[in-house]
Amino acid sequence: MNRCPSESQWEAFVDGDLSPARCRDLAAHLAVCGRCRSLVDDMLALKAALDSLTEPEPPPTLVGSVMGRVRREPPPQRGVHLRATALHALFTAGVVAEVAALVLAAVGITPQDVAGLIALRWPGLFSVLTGAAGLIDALADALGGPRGWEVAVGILRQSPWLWPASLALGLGFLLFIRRYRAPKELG
Amino acid sequence: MALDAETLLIERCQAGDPEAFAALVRRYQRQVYALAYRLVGDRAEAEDVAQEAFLRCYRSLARFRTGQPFGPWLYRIATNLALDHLRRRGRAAAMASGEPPPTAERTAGPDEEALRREDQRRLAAAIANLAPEYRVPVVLFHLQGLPLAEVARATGLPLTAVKNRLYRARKMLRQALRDQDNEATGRCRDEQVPVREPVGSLR
Repeated sequence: MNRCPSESQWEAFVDGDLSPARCRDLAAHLAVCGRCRSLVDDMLALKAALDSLTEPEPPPTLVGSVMGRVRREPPPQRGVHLRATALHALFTAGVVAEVAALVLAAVGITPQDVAGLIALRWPGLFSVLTGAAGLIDALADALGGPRGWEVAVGILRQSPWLWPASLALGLGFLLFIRRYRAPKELG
Repeated sequence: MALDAETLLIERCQAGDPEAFAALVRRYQRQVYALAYRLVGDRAEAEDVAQEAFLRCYRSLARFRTGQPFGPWLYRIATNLALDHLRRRGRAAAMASGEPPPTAERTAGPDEEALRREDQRRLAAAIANLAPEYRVPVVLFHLQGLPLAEVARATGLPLTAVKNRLYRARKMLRQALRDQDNEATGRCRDEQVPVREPVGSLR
């Protein structure tokens, strides 16, 4: 190796953050380059000084003060979080389904087209879906109501405002859920 | 094994056992307080930040998924609180005095101890003069002893960004210590005072 490696390469070398082969290359360069040896000596000395820097002792009152405040807090609310997560998943799935239905309707794809495509590409899935649809239709028949898709289309025709309303609801919930995310990144 | 014990403690906390949380606080108080002290540079303020970090941690424990490393998660809370505190205080260059922290360690003789404390004071002051975005990786990697990947997790930065900031920070520290050495050497020459070995090169 004729050219001197970059400083960041040497920093990675000092941290032991290079592959063994690259380490061997750099070690070989060190043996013949006084300038790099001096730089690496400085880096190692700083690293040793940083690693040996004495850390302050926490005040003896810290644990007591924290626990005094913790005891005034309600216990961790795991249930709230799980409910929030489940609602989040539900709203997200609802929004995705609504958007997909609107797009399909806009481009003129009928449920029969989708069913035909599924039957052709994924016969196993088609069997499962038709079985489920049959079950729903049987249930609808038993209750004397309309069948499968007709239910959804009927609701859409009668109450078209449901779509934007539920989209807005989903968006609102997504904003709410941001509160539950991990702390923000460093600037 | 230690991780398993910690996981049990966290699960007990999540089930509402405050004594388990007290055990977690005892386990992490040194690291969290030291991190806060290195970032805000004042003992009383560091204690406030550490207290607040543990309190936020307690409130958020329900959302913590056991099995993830707890330390980096807690350090991230503490780091963000310390940085918010600095922003509020409006002076990023904290700990300008670079006062040496109180320690329990007293092993060297008086002269050697004084030199060691002086070196530590100068290094601490150089760290305190770094901008927070450079100080944080130095504190987490060198002073807290976290692996680079955990520093990345604790800061929410990509690994390459952490490495770049750490490398730049160390370069700035080397330069700052060299400058301090040159300044001290010049002063001693002017005052005809015997010069001790320079520590800027830390060799």
